[in-house]
Amino acid sequence: MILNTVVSLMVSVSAQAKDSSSSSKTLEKVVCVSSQTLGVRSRNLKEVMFSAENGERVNVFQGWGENKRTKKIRGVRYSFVRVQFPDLAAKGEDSVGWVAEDYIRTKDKCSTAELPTEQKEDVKTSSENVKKEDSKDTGDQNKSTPSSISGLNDSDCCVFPLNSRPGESYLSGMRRFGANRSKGRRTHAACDLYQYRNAPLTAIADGRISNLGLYEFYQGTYAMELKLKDGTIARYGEITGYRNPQVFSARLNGKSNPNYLKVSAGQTNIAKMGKVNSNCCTPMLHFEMYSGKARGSLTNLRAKGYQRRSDLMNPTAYLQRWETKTFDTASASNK
Amino acid sequence: MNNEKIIFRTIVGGLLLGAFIALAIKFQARVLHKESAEDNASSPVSKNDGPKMPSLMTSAQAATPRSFPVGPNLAAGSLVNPPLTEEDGQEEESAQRQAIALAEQFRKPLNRTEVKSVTTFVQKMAKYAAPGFTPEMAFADLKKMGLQPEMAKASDPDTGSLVTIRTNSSLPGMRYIHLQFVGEENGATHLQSMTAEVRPGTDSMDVAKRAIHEQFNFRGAPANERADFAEWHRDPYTAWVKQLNTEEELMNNPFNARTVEDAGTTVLGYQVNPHTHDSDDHEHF
Repeated sequence: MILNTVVSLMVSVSAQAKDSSSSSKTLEKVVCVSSQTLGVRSRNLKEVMFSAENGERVNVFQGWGENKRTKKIRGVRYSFVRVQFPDLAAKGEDSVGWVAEDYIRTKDKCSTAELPTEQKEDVKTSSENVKKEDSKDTGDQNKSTPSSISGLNDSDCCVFPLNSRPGESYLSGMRRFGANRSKGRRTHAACDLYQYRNAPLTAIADGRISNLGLYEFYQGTYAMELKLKDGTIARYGEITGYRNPQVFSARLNGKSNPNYLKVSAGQTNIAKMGKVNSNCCTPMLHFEMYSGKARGSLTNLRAKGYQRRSDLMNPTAYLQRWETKTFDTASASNK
Repeated sequence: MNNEKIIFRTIVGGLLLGAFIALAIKFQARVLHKESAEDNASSPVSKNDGPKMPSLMTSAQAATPRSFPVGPNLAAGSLVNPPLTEEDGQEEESAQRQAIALAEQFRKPLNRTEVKSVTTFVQKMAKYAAPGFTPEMAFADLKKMGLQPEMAKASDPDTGSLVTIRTNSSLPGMRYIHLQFVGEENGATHLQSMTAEVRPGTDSMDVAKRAIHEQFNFRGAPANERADFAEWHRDPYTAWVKQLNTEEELMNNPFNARTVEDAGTTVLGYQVNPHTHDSDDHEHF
């Protein structure tokens, strides 16, 4: 009886949500229930294989194959959809099952998921916000964590974005900033840091991932933008689709994640190095930097040469300094 | 005489033991039946009891932990895992047969309608990437096609805006239509990425390559071509086709649900090229 009432209430709330506009701030789908968890069922819709947390990110299957089933329960026909939980898939766990369609919503249309309000805030991150126990969960480690920096020229700034030195120099060849592209019609706007696929990437300083989140970048790779306290922006390009839950999940372990989209200097595994589909090149981090003096998208097709925003910076000298600071200091302390 | 007594006692003893075992089994069955009835009364779904409300949501207590083994009739999960009946077993076998049949069907060459879908999608790539074409125009076009698009605009005071459009339904033989438009410094927008997937038919790669070659009027061979990949450059964009075959390729997408059973799926992409991976670019293996 109680269960019946709760379910009816949820269906009615969901119907109201469906009436709202098709435009929102995000298309990211989450589990949206009034309780803490939702049963994820097997194909016959009878066994509950595992439970998903309220607010947990979910991708709905489309296209070929059976992706939708209905079941009549006490005279009411419910629609179930086949879904995948990407955070579980990333961990290699069972990630596919069936859930009632009414309990899947876009993130900003789910009032019960208690999204953190950081999206509206400016950069207020501090290294203290990243709890050490959280880092242990995903094998993240903080190297040096300067409490605050005044800017890129601060001697404490910053940390090299890879865990170890790149396989080849970013000072020469087509990897360097300013190298010619398309027979001189374009210019390379980044330093390409070569290493291996899935190499963990490091936050260069305390900061916040831009509201754009992880987005499609190029040939099966993705990008994200890290905003530092002094306004500098670093674009991490050609990364994999991996989203570290500590950084990208609005909710963790059933609670609102206070570190949602926040990173601290030296925090590793904030992303992983990808490889483009063409297989043309060694896996790399395509690393771009901007001073933060301009506004708008970092890519600007109308800008000649680099085809980037007007505040594009040459990251080479900074990377060299951070490389020395990060690895020479580390090797000296090991001796 | 003694032997006869021993045989008689053995027979009587055996009968008594048999009767005791039978009674014990009957008693156990009654206890189990009672427990099962109690379980079904508080939760769900047993075909013999008629339709009942299943626990669509699990309570924190009833929730099956992630590490809990999958399977029916597990004691700890009895409230949320009702026992399967013989009928369920038959239904499951039938479903498995259907799944195998479907999987075989997905491997068949694309039919005429599906080939047309791929051509249409490639035409849209060229259309949406034209200067001045806005996300709103793309949204309206996809809606007109009946693809149930959803649009989201994420904006950041420091890094501009990103408009993402995805469709809830797709063209026959395709899925996961995903578009990204970015806002520039001057307020204009441009298509930055457009991708979709084609079902893993035996000729999907060839159909996709042919569609790109013809619809974009590319001359000659692709700039780069392998059995599972091809790309063409039209500055500032690159059109590409990639067949996903490995687990690594299939399982690393943050937006599209896939399993290893989707091996052979072909992805079509039209994206702003941050490098121009032509012959003078990077260092090839």
